[in-house]
Amino acid sequence: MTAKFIGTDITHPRIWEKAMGDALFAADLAPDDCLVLKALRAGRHHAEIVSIDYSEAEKLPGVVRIFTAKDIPGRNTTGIINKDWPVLAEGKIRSMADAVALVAAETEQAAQAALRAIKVEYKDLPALLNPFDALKEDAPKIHEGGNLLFTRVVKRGDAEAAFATAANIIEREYKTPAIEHCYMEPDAGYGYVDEDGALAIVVCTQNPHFDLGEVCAVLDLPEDKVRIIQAVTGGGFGSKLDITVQGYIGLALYHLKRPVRYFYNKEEALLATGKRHPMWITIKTGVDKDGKLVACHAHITGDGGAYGSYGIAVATRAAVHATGPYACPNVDITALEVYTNNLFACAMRGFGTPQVAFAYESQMDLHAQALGLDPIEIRLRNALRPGAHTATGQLMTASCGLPNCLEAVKPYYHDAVTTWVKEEPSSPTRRRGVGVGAMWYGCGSTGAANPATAQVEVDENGIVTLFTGCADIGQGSSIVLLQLAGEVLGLHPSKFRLVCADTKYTTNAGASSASRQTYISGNAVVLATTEMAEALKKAAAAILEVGPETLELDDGLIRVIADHAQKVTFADAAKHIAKAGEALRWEGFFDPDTTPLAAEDGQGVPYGTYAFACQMAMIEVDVLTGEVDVIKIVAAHDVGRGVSPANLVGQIGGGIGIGQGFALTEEFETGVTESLTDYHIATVMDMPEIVPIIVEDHEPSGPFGAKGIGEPALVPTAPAILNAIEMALGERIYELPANLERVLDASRKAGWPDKLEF
Amino acid sequence: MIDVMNYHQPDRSAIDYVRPATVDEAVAMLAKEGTAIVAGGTDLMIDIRAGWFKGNCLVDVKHIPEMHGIREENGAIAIGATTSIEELRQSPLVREKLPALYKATEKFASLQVRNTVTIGGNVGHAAPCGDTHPPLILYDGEVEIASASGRRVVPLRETLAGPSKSALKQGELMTRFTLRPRKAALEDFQKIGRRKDLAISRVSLAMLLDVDASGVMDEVRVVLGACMPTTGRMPETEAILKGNKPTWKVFREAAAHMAAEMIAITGRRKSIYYKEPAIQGLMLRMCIPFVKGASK
Amino acid sequence: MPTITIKLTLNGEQREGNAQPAQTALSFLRDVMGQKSVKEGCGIGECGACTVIVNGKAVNTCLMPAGQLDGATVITTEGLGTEENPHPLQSAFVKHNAIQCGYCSPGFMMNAKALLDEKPDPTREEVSKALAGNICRCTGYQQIVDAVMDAAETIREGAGS
Repeated sequence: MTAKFIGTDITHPRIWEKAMGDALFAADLAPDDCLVLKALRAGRHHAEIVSIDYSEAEKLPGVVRIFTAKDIPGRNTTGIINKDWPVLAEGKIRSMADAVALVAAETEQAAQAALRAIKVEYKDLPALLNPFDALKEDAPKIHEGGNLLFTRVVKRGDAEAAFATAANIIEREYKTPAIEHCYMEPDAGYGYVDEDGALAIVVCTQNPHFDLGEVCAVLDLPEDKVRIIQAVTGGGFGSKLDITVQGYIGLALYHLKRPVRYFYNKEEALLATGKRHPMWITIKTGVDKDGKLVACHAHITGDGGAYGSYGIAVATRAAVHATGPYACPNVDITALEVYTNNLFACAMRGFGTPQVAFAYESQMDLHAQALGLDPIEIRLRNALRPGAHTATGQLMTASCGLPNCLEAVKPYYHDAVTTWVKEEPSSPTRRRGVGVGAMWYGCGSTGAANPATAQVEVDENGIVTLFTGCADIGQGSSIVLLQLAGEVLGLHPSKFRLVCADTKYTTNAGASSASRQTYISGNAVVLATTEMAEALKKAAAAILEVGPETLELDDGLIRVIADHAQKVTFADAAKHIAKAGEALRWEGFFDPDTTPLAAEDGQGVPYGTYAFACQMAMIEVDVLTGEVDVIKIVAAHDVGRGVSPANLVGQIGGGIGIGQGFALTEEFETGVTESLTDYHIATVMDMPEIVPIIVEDHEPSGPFGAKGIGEPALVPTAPAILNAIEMALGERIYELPANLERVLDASRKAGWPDKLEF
Repeated sequence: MIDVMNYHQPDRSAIDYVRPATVDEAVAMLAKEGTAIVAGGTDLMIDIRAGWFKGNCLVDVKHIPEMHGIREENGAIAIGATTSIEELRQSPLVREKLPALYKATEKFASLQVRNTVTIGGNVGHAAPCGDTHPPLILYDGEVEIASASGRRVVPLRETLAGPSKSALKQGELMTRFTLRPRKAALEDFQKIGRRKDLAISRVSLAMLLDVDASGVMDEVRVVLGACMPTTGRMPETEAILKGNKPTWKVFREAAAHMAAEMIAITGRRKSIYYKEPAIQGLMLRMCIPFVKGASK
Repeated sequence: MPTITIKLTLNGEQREGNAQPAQTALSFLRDVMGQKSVKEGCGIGECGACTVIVNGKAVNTCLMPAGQLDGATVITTEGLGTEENPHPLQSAFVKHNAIQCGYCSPGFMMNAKALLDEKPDPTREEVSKALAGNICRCTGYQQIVDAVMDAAETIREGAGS
């Protein structure tokens, strides 16, 4: 069946207001008379709070009230999985960013003066700044339960025995740094008491319904007394899944019952929000003489920082994905999630998989080199295909698009290695390299329920409204959902009313994370609209006195397929339904078919579907200075079905930008990279030419066959670039970022500066 | 502790603002305690935000006609202190006569910042990584400094006194710079940053090299930027090159010596691990066309 | 307490408002002049989200004292086009999907407008060079450069007709 709205580019319902400069983010919406909120941050890694004295601060002009932990009526801990993060510190400081007190003041100036006047006495404790120190037996406990938060084991077959049969074994250690999400809109929100007397919080967020639950718990209020409204949100990339300003706004609103606002400046947004987990990965892989993986042994240590956030899920996902998108019958993988006194680590685009992809794709190239195999060929030989089992024992049955992605990249790769790499580089001090990176990514939460709901309504005027709790943070989920809904109802997406991510009007769609909204909310929308379509057909069939199977929906009409003159409008069908006393509202619910992973060996079915991708990077390295120039990236992505092509390309471009930063320049260091002067993300000048290739390997459980793209776009970029650097220099880099220092080091190890002669 | 939250911003409402029309008016205002010069304002506004600014009055010198523009005067190039970096970049005179300065402006921050930052501000702020400093020294730059007691001319290498501290005293104002073009076989500025644009220099280097009729280098100027507390010429390195033919071998020797000359000043700080090989690499990369040209 | 009256030409209209001279031009334009398209990103001139056109030049308003706007001619995205008659840059940004989260978009369009006003037929490289001071974390930039090139063409055609 040819699609009407799927696979075509349709203008996003909110893009015009953004182009006109009229899109109002939380900081643009807050009324002028809001009180200003500011938190006092500890500025030390690990300490006991001896005393807090804000008596002087509270007397300052313009200061309305100062809150500490004792003012919290409910549960003073938040967190996506582990509830271990206090809104305001209670007795103890675990990271630099911990908030000790919250000031509400008439002006910014008064709030700052109050912060300066609050006297806190601390007793410093030894700071544990890496997981290995934190795991020592005599290490002070950061949380009561100890510093090892979680261990995930994935075990299948007999890895040790299989290594004995391997033709080639490679064992290496890899290290990746903390990364800042660096969304452009610093976290912001404001609150007011709404018309129903509920505490309404307008905020940038990736998950309004999670925020609702957390704020209710902190304030000990039922869910109808709090309302979260997602403002236009300026990116998130995983960071805006956690609570940022919501708790502070809720607390002040609860006590003061007057409008309050909290805008982080960029420095606070860098300090007080989560980071990508630094990981230390020891991995040993064995292949047979044909290059097929026989065993994988990996030990992954993740620095979770001071609070759990999504950490358990990150460790699990890293372990589950550590084999790469390859069939490997014998695995023994352990991932640890460790508390330290660093800034807390959270979800970031990829959830632990970019880290392990750097490791498994470096290994794949090392095996290919050892056996004299082409990098594309060795990946083709190992690629997961229907009939293969994953490391968790999941049987792949469909939509394994990696071979197609590899085949799509192959001609580019062979052209690049046979001609481009041999041509004169752009400067005599440069060397060229080409590399590939592949990846897989399970869409949705790992082995845990993560349903989405959605509703669709038609009124007696025939106006169709789609309700979804799904937060569009710029990635374009709203247009994707409208295209899916439009496809089912035969109605152009621009003709819908869309109600989105306001907890008063919409139900839970889960987080805009884990590349799950197209797949999961998409399915919920398709189910809701399919029910509506059936109801409309039934009503029209009754009016026209024909069988419902003879009808189709098109542009607000239900008509007889064979005779378009016989038709009923949506409005008339709606009236017919209403007259029968039935509701004009239909709901869809979808939760992917998964099973929990067994605690002892991690076996189970963690995801309903997986996305696959392969990217190729063409780069030049200056052997004298360590500068790396990424010239071109070819990116082939299996998305199941491309719903919104321009959005897919947009996700690929943005993903490559962040992936390239992960590869080359980005590393968050507390107290060093405290502003955008020191934290370097790619400018337009740094970006390569990008050739996006959309591969469609139909996913039977996806909406019209679709699955996710958000995170997959980023994952293969760093491995491709690092493999290309290896080709250019003949020396491999095992620690990210491959910055000036590390690349020049590798170049010198390979002796390139000395070999140059003019 | 880092002041990440900018708790210590001064009360902006207590900061006054004046716009003198002439240099005399400006220096009279600047003689008062607590005044600060503002032209582009880029560094000053960051200082205010970070809580480092302690003054009470901004003296905006951007509207003083005398302090603006680029002119050729008796073979020298005079540049008004409030001339923006972008104006320098777009000036045919700079591009033709001061190519190393032009190259520095090409790699200078962003367009928005180049439109705003003035050359006086970049020198006055004296950050060691200021990208105009190496070419200004390369072209024997001098600056005219005005004060209530008159005007004096100072070589720039004396003015760029050290990290973020220029030699200006209260009541003094840089009015204009004079640079001396010197046509040479190689006039170049290059920098290495962590990205291609919008990058702070990790290291930068300006070189002016020329050969006499016999092919021997008779004019050698090497200015290393972003590495040492004070940007300046590298006399020992220059001495190695001077009087020699421009061969790869002699540049290798000079580059190695430049690294040693730098370390003698800075000591072995952590960043030296990269800077030591990188400045050598940068010098070698910059001299390749010159070496190739000479060997033809 | 120094407060000055700033008179400026804002999007073609004579406007005035009171400012603390050392407050940022960014906060003056947002809070006093109501120009909410001017966004604070980094606050220190590293991201370009607060870019507007002052006297024909693209500048970061976070780095400009409000006092310097007195007597200036300022264009913000609010003054670029109307919904009925959008500026070619706005149409091209929509057409090329050059906007995702949209936080950086007004700054990009301001910088691009200043560029095209000065140089109606830039190369891709020149567009990139000019836009390097605007950070976008969503798109990877390719669509933004496409949009500016497309808008340049539309403007040139419009000028020739």
